[in-house]
Amino acid sequence: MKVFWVFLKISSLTLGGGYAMVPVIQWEVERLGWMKKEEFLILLSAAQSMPGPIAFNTAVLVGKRVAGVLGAILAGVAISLPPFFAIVAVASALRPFLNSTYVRAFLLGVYAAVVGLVFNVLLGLLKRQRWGILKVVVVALGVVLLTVSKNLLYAVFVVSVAVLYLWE
Amino acid sequence: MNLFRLVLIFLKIGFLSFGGGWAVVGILKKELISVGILSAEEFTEMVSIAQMTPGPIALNLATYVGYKYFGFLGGLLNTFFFLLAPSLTIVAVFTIGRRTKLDSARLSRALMAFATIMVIVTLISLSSSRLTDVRFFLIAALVFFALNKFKVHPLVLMFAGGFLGVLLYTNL
Repeated sequence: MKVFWVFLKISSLTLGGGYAMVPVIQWEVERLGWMKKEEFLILLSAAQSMPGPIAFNTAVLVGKRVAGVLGAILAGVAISLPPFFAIVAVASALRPFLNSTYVRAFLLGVYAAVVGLVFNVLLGLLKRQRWGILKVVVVALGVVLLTVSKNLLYAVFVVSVAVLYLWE
Repeated sequence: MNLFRLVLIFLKIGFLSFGGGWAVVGILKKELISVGILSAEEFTEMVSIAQMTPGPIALNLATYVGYKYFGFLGGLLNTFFFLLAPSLTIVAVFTIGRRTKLDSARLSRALMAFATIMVIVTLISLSSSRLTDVRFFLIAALVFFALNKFKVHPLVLMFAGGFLGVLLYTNL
């Protein structure tokens, strides 16, 4: 039950997306003595290599470690509840104003800011990897194929991951 | 459009959300617009709102689309199904992981490359409708610069971007 409250607290107090949440989770986990730093880092890399939002995956894995399957479920629910209600609240509050010129301009400005942030995420990803010719070719091909047709999603996924796994 | 179809799209894409939420936003945009669930305009609104509220972006998108078109239940179901795929994968990895030998460092490097593909696609798809808009890229560049040079908190930058938007896009 403690797992539930800890993650509920983290999730409701952390603004700014999943990557902002991870350091807070780490801090809490170490403070409560649930895990050592190395242990958490191993867990984090596991969370990164699975599909799903990173903060959610990390929470579920920590929950499982601390209190078994029940802990995992509680942690998952706790981390998703606050965003859920925040979205519902914001969506209902904004609804009457969505046709206002100012609100539209504000949202468009935020959208532009998002593009700047995503570019930064991309830069981080590019820097963290070793780049060979093969990888550049696979990534470039994948981007072109997915831009042309979204139906190739699974094909691109399977082929690119398989090729890079076998060759790297 | 019906709720079932929407939930199915999010369930499907949930399985491929390696490398954080931004990886799937581009694909989500394509899917949602091509089946006529959202217009490009509505998508802009959605991404902005999802980013300004607490929580991971992809999860917030799932909740917001569900809630906007199908009310409380829609938001709840869409969120649940989007998280179902990651949850099942975690369980599966724990059960299978003990028996088979897979070089996890190698696998995560391969997955990271796939995430790179997805984030590039997201970036293209987010900016493709605004290629000739100088103001748009000005805001994006400023945000990127402030983030890198001065380590300004992303949330502050979101609001700054919003106010810049009001200044640039309305003729005060």
